Amino acid sequence: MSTYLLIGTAIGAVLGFLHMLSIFRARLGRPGLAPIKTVWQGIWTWFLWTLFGAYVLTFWILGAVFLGASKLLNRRQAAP
Amino acid sequence: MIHGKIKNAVVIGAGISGLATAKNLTRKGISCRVYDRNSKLGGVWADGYHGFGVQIPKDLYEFPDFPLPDEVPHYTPGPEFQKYMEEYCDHFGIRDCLQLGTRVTALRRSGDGWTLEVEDESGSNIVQTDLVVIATGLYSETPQMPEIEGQDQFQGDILHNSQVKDIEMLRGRRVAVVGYGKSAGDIAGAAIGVADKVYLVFRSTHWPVPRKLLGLLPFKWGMLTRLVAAMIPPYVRSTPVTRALHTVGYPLPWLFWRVVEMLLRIQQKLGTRIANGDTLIPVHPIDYDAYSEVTMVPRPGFIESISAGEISAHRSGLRRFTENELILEDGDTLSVDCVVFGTGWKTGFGFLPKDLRIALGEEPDGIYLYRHILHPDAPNLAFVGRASSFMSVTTFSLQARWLSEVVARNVTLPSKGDMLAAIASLRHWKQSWMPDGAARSATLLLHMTHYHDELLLDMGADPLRKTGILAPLKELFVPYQASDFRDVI
Repeated sequence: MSTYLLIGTAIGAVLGFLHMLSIFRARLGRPGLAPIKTVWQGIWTWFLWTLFGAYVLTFWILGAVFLGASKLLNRRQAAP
Repeated sequence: MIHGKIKNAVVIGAGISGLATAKNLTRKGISCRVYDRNSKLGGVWADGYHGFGVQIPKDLYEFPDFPLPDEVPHYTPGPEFQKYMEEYCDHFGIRDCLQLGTRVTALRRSGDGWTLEVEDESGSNIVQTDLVVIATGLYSETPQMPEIEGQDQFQGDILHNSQVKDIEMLRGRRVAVVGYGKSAGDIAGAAIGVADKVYLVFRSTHWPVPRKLLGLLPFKWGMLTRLVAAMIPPYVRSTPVTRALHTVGYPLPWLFWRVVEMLLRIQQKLGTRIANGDTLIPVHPIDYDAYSEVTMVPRPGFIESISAGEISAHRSGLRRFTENELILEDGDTLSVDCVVFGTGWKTGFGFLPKDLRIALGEEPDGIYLYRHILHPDAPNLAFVGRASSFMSVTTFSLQARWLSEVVARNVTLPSKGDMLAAIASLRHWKQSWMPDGAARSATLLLHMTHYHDELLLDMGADPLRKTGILAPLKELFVPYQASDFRDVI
């Protein structure tokens, strides 16, 4: 369990970091947008991804399982 | 595309978008005339069917810079909203711009500007103007009424829902209401206990959006946050990284929407058996159906009325009329003496000359515009209010502000080529996945946050509207409401 939490958190941290960079790229230097707000938004984004990384991973896995099952069922129903 | 210096403008339509446009243009020193065929301002709120009103909470449906008074109910009744628009007009001093009871009958290019023919009680007049803003909304004044075989021999009344001004018109009658949108549901619900028998006939159902999710949480918290905006297909011209994330991450939003569907099925009792063993469960998934032209926020008790048999629901098309019956495609025969079509209005801009409609590239799903407002091949012509959004008043107010900034040269438009490329991208994006419909070109709905962001960025305003130390959390989890845009309107 702790390994799973660690993996999920690590994935969240990586995605969050990339998300933070994308926010910086889109907003920093743009007229009308406060740099402090951008940095604060970016840091929070990274933090939230890291905090909820394991939960997001869980829902992603559940989604992948149910989506796969749903596609399989639909294919079987569509088969003659 | 705006040519030359704009000194005066004509706004067609005195509804929400027309008034917001007049307010913003007059603030830029532009002389405005607002024409409306009705003798009362308000557009769709000037008049309506029995019991008409706003279907979303008032904090989402009000002018950001002119809040609705506290005493107005949470879901604003139509007449109160019309009164509020009158007050808006007086508050911002635009009443002098209004020329009500005046219909625009023709529109011609004249140099960089336009010549209009307008008609009122006193006769026809010619008007010259630098800029024309079409603010007549998404739909025309022509009711959408299907032609059904045998309707000439039907002895009862065939009405459009807009003609049902007083529900007493239906007293003691056997009524079939056709449609599954808000107006059809409203009329059918109001007819219970008044009409002798109420049928509701619809070909397809749509996912209902309850006023409160699970009976607890106002729907805006579950539908209108940036978190939910991340669960829908990427917006037009998204980056390759965003598209890749949405592809790899697809199981996540897929699961989210299936859970939402499950909750709605339970809460709204969509498994209720109706005529012929049918149910109210929609065919299409909610994340696709949400972009259809029918947004269903059912009046309280609507589904319960169907479950209780107070409304006899039939999921079928209409085949033909006889003298006193309506025969459905599923073979059922309804003995009725009044049929009310709650089937909406036709789209289109019939008053625009054909060459202009060609220049605008009109298609069966509407006119595609740059930022839903301008077309580079129709200079000095703008559309405000051609966008369907859950926060129409805010969306139209932002459009009006954006247009006024463009006219005042505070917002620089891209080149004609870039604008055409943006329009082509928008068209391709929408036509590649959104449900087909006459107003698809103007459909935003769950993408409205992305669209608001675009307009705000163009104007040099921050799209992140939430404030305070916890603003990033609020951005993600707290829905936007009109007041968040107060300082940019």
